[in-house]
Amino acid sequence: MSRTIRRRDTPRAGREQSDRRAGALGRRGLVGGIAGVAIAFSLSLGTSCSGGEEDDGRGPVLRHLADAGTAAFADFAAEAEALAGATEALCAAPSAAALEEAQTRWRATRRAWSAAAAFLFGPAMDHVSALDYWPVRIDTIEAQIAAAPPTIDVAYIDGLGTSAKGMPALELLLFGAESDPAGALAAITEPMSGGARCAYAAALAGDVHGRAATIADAWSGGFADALAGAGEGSELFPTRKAGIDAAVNQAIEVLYAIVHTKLDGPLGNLTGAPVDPEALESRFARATRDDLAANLASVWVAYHGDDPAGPLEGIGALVAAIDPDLDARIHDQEGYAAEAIAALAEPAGEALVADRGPFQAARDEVDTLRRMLKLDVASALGVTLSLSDNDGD
Amino acid sequence: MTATEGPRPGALEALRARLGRPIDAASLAAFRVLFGLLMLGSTIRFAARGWIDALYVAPELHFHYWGLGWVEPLSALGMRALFVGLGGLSILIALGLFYRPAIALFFVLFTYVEVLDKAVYLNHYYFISALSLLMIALPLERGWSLDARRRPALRAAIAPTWALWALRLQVGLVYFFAGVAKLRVDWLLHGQPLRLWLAARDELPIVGPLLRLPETALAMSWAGALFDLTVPFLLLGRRTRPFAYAAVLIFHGLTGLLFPEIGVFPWVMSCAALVFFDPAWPRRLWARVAGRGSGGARMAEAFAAPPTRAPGPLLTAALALFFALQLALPLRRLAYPGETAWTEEGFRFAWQVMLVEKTGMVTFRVRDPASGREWLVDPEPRLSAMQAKQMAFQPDMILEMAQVIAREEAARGRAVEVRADAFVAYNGRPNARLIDPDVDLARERDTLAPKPWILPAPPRR
Repeated sequence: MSRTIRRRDTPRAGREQSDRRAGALGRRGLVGGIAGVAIAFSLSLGTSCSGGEEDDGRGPVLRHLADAGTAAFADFAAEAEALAGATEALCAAPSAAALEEAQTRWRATRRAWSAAAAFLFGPAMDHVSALDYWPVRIDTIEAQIAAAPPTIDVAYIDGLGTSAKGMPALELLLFGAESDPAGALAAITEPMSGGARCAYAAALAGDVHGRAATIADAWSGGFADALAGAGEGSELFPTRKAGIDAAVNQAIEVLYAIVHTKLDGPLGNLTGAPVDPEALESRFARATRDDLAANLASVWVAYHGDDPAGPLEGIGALVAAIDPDLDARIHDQEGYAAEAIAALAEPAGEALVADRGPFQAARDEVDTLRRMLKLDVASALGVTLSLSDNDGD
Repeated sequence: MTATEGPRPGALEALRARLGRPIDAASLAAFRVLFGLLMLGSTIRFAARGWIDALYVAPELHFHYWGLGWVEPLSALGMRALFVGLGGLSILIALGLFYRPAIALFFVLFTYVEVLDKAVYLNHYYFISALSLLMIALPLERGWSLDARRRPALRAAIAPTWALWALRLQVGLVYFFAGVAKLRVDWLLHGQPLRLWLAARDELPIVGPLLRLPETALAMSWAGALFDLTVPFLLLGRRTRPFAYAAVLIFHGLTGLLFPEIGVFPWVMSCAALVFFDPAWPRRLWARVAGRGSGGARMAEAFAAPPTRAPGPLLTAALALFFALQLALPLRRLAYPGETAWTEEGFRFAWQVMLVEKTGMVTFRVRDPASGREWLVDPEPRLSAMQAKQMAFQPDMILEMAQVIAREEAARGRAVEVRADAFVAYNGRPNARLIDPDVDLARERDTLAPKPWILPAPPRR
């Protein structure tokens, strides 16, 4: 009680003096605090006007990604142009040789497309559905051909829904639903509907070529430079990190598509049903394994570089700088996944029905690689995951 | 005092007397105004960013807190109206109009929103809930309020000491337990997760290259731990307070700028820490700004007002219970085995602030014993981006998702088993399994007891 009284009786002058002292200190503290925040603020404001000049290794990696993406789509466009020409030639003079040439061109185009998978961000995004609607709906394609106008051209195809066009639809027409070249040739030479069928195929090939050229032009015409110059005034990629993030997320997307869409589906893993060979990619062309291998290879170009035996040029260079052990484990895992895919037999449909084991093994190895990229690499590089793992139909 | 001596007789009465002693009510009034304005800004920001729909309306399912499985969101219109209500209540709190019912209703509505979905848990949301609950008991409407204007009997320039100390204790506990939580190997020896986070901000000019250095992360980790552990005590000292508050502003300013995703937390804490200043600080500041005296006459008038009192027995008991809970919740993690940051057991409501960088990936394996069929379920397409991200590394959310799958299959007439392939990368360690893949989660119950099916944290390489 006495202590309370003493405190209350503190002379006002003394208390005010004490308060003034505290007030002065408080003002100094506030000034110091505001100055500290101001310094920090100025740092953050500077982010928008400078990407930092220090070479942190990301510049060369972005350049590699830009060059690799440009090359991949240039290759795709060149193959698509050859495919369009071969399909036109087939329709002009149908023959077994012309069909075989068109089939060869389709496989090459498909391989180039699959090898560009790790670069399907930016300008390619607008065309993915139109180029690669899959699994193909046979009934839809046949109905479109039956209902097509006398003149079937690229403009007509452009107006159709995505389920009626793209490389898988063209595959159906060139290879036949039974993967029977003689049957496919018979269908496009059949007197009543063969002409329309081949014209539809040629228009599909033209549409694919047009889209491929558009993507390639967009990459070489500015997008690649924007990616390579990420963090240096690029509006698309305001920071170098944004460019790296886009590439890492796309690599993860590709691996997810392999696991979930291209293997889990045919394996029956998503429904518990028996294996479903009709859900295999590129089954008419018997190019399932090639597509998967090219997809994985595209991821490896983004991660490692153009030459698998050469030095690290891609994202892996950044990973190795932070965590060499992680990079080594990723190299090992990519090897396991590539081996598992290479072990798949063709025709994949028959092989799947005979023994699902190799397909499950390939799925598991690719999934492990995906996990390492999605969890370990993304964490090490500070990647903001885009969480769009709902690829599929 | 020796170990055999008990409390000094009368100590409790002396304490009660001290707690009942009058202080200037200005800082409490300022705290109320700042709290109301911050909550108004926060509510507007939340709505403007489209989070009401994105977090509470759009998701087809929500992750519930233990014991609160019955809490569900309102309709879209209802949720939007609720946020309008929160904004209105924030204004009432700032104005001091119908303060007690306003803060009580604010607590109820805000906490309802908070408990709708575990995926949205944030430490500062919990802080707001705890603070608003405490504020119901505090006489913060005595000054600078429309309540005081409309009811002169309420008006007073003084308030009891205990009200200010209750706020100081609440704010101090946040800092202190956040500091204690940082006393772990990852934080102190490996500079994680700051090492990962700072490296991701290395494109800042001038300081960017520094942020890449492990030494920077380590230094900032230690500085952060020391700051949290000491700042409430340094804020209490008259001589150290200005420097401590400068540190508060710098610390929260830097964290807010380096990690913008923490939202309004730096603002909330920077304002909350003002409760440690002399209770007359707003009056002095106003006097300085307005060019008037220091408000001594006002204080003289105040001391002529009816004396303030220590809280009554009921309020004392309620406050004791409240703070006992505030102590028990952070400490409950000691009752769980393993690393809290990995298992997440005892992690929420415990001021485990900015301690982990985790990314997860989970796939559910569903098996129908009757048919022998087994299939995979990827939950992500059904979840919002935030739900998917949070569920992937939080065992109790994975359990709930597994049980949702099991319930849905049961509705189709299938009594299925659900197992999880859950992998998590944690503070720079290689990804590892989080959950025993052989355990049928459909048969597990969500309780507060330790979950034996959570696997140990992976060792650091």
